[in-house]
Amino acid sequence: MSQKIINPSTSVAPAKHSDSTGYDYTIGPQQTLPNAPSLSKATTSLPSVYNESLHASARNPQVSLAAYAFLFQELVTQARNASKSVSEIELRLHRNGYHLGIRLLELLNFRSSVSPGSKNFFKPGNSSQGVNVASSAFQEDSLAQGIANMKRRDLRMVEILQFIHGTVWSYLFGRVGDDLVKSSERENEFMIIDNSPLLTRFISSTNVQCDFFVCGIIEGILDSASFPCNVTAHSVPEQNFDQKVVFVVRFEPQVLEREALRS
Amino acid sequence: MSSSTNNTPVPSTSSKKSLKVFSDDIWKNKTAKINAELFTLTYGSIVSQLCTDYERDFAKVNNQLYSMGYNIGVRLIEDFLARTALPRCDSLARTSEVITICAFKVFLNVTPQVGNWSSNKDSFSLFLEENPLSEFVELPMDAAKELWYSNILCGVLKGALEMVQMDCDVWFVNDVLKGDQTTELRIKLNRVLKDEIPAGED
Amino acid sequence: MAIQTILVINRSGGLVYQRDFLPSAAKLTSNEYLILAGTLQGVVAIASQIAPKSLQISAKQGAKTGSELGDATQTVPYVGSLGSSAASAADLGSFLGPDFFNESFTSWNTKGLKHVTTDQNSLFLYQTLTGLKFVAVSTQNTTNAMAVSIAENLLRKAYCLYADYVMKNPFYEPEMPIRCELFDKKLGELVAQL
Repeated sequence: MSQKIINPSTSVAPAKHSDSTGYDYTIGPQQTLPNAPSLSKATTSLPSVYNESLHASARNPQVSLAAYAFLFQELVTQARNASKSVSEIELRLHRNGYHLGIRLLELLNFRSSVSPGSKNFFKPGNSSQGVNVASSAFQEDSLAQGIANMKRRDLRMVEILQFIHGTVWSYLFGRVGDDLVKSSERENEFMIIDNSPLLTRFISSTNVQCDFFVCGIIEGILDSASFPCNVTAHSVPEQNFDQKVVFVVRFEPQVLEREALRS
Repeated sequence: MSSSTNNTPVPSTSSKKSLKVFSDDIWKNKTAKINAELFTLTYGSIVSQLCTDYERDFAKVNNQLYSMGYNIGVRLIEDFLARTALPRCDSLARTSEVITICAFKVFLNVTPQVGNWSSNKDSFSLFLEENPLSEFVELPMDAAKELWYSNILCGVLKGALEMVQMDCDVWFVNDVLKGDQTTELRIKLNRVLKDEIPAGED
Repeated sequence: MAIQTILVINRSGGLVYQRDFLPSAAKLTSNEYLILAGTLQGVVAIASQIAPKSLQISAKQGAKTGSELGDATQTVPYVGSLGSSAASAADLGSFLGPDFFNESFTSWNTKGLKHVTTDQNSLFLYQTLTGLKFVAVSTQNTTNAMAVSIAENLLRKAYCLYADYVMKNPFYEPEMPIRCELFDKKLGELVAQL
């Protein structure tokens, strides 16, 4: 290979990842030219990580809700053990959710802009090892196209909230949220309503609000979309929906200012 | 009061095939499901949080993942037994089938391969071709050396087997995330805790 | 058959859950329930020791020849979803409807205690491989096989609810008394369907 990268900041031997063109935090972004031999090599040796994750809607992978519920209960237990107060537990769950949220915006936006017709382009199809160079170059092509045709960024509060209430909710929980309401009292306040939250459905209500995990997801998405805000969860039991939760989104004042400039 | 009887046999014998049919049916028709990426991402956030909390001391992270898995295992076994009502395994070979064909299928929708039996048949390996925990994961260089990213699985198996009175050691031998050719998990049966088997069984 | 009481006994014989469903029925004190739980734990163990040898041998042979359908005494037939279909369309947690399970299942508790009958009541016991015991007390004296099957189905469903609403609750400490609102509620619904 032509460019051998000298790695100044770490003593760890750059083992098997040295061929990767992916981001490596010890080196920083690496430049690769399209069609450079290293690129085709990387895409053939690592067919899945960078490409397939974009088109997972085609294969729709699932695990059992039970497996998730056990992982989630252990996540809550860990947060409990590490915390001294209820608000600290909620803060930790929020932080875990935030970690997910910041990863979802661009991915879901990309996926939702791929029209059903072009999905065939992206189908991992024979995603097994045998992807030849030609077809992976073809994939790269259609990938670039997909990015070019991507839905434009949501710039208004209502649009981005509809994205969360619709696209994000469907992705996470398999159905859209139950309602999206604007507060009548405060300009910057919106409410996303979930009548039967999936992740906490096995948890009998306590003074700890485990749905703060989902608050973190929402806040992570909104933050990465440049809508700084604060999200909290509140139980509002009703006759038919005794686990109903309202997620209250409060945007920072600058979001309102920006919105006013655009109108 | 309405009642109907359905005499579909439960695979009570060593028939591997009927176990597969039985398990696939449970996965397909009797198990609520959730997006596997949410599962992957949630687990990722747990591991990365631990790496931060333990200041990238990966030996400690491995231990913590194992103990979290153990806590899950002792609970998860009840779900597994309620869901499948499978009887006690009469041999370790049968246990290996139930773990791979049934348990992994029903919870994670994957079926690892069993292999590398020791000569005295007290230990075997699971080869995970697919692993929903580590989908889309690449380890940073410092972690690739020491971190067993999916170590929670060892804890789950340890805890679950202990609850059905099997004292086992469970550990990872290889992981593709570390550059190995396969992801291999080893289970060694130390002894069956006979005194703790509930009364009433043969 | 009306269910009067449901109990859950942990691996070491401690009572972790007790609930009365009939307000009219005579009640035991909580101390008496604790004694009942401990007694059952002991009786199950003794019963398995005094099971006639001939029975033990035939059960073992049945297991060895491995007949697919199993011995009639070992397989519990599935009893269809109880009550109206509207009720059974209810939320089954991590299980997909129309019911928690829909096949016959093996009762491996071949030598231990399964049910006790008096002139007034029957007591049914379902033991899991982990050593948990689910106990139901009904207000009928019955020895017929159908009633026993119904009770075993009911108790396995209670076990399914336990798996969802107790085991998946991070605020429940294993082996401790169960205080989970959702478990109470779902168990109430299950019993009400009978």
